[in-house]
Amino acid sequence: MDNLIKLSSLTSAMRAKDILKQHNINSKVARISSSNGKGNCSYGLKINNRLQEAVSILRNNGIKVSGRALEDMI
Amino acid sequence: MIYLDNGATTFPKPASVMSAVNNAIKYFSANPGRGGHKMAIKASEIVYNTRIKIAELFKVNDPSKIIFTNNCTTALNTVIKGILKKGDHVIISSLEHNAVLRPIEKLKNSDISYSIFEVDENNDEKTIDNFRNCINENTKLAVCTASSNVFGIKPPYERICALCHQYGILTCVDAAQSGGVFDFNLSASSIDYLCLAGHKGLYGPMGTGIMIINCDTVPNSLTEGGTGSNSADYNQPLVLPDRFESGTVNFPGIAGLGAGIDFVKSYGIEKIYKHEFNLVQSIYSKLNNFDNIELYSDYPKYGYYAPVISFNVKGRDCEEIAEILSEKYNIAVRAGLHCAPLAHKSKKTLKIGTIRAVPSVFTTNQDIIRFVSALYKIIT
Repeated sequence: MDNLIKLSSLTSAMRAKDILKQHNINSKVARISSSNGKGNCSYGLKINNRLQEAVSILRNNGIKVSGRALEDMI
Repeated sequence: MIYLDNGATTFPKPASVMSAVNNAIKYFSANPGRGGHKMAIKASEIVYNTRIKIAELFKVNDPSKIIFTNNCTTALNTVIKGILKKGDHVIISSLEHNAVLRPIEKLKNSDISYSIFEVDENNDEKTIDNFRNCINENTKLAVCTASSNVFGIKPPYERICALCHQYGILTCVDAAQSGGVFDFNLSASSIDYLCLAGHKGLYGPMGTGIMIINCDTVPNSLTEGGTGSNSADYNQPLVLPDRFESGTVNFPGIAGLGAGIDFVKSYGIEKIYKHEFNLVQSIYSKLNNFDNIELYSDYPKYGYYAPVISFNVKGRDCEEIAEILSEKYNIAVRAGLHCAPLAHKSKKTLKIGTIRAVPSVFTTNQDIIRFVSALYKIIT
């Protein structure tokens, strides 16, 4: 099961992916479902593990994380 | 053909640019920033990679502050109309292109005033003084070209921008003619907004422009619409670059621009400037020997001019000379006002225009010899 990190834009997701890669955290840019109860479409990152660490790294690098969740919860 | 109209757009484009455009259309032409399928993500990566390349070239930390526009004119309009409000005052140089002059002239209808400072190409101190004398308590923005698209004159734009920051004035530099030719380091600059054409010195396709936001003051958007993000919100997203990139972007153009920037980086900006400038100095030296050629500056000094030269044949119409060069000698130059009446007013060529020659990295010494030789035959 993947973890999802929600980001404010596609560019932000691409940048976040690059930053995590520098920390040996592999991730994949993905579209986040619009059926999340908020009706919004957005992009995020799918990662297998180290979710908390990934979020912390991104925040330390000035990337605004909009949310995080298990994929099946979104 | 000998192509010396690189001030309008560079030609030829590097083979890598043509390949990138072709591959973008042929293999990855999904809509970047819309779907989540593999091809859409791949297209998005290509767009993002071009953003990164631009950020590296201009030394910008945050790639989200690299905004793709249709052209440099759109970028300049976005800054000018997105920043200025009723009652504001803006200062522009005497060398500005219509891409700056016309939007500012239009804003007079919205109670926004402007002043023009005279650029003295032989005296930077005088230019700075001229600029300082235009500042008033309502001055919100200064717009200055990095180099005249007609005469190649390079105003002391970095010093002007630094001065502006002392007065709390925002700064915008029009680098349409100098991106890929001058070395910009925005991480150590007082330039707040840098506007660029992708299809000139950056060797990308036409239909590509760039606005770089190098400060915390983000202009209002000129165009609102679909961004592929926050779609349930009726309001335009504030996040960058989405705020300014409504509607489908020019994906093949951006892919080509990325290849163009790779080309510029591989060649080296200093080397490009040196090559083109040597050619302009060569043109100047040769034309200066002809009695009936009018030149409009002293011998161009390295570092003080962009590789652009304007001239006239005394007593002859500039368009006529350009036409003969094209029809009889297969040489492309541009004649007329070059969309820059202010610059011509400064040089007193507003009524007659000029013939402009601009080399590119592909122009050779042999091209220049043939160009001057053709001119010699026309005027003797």
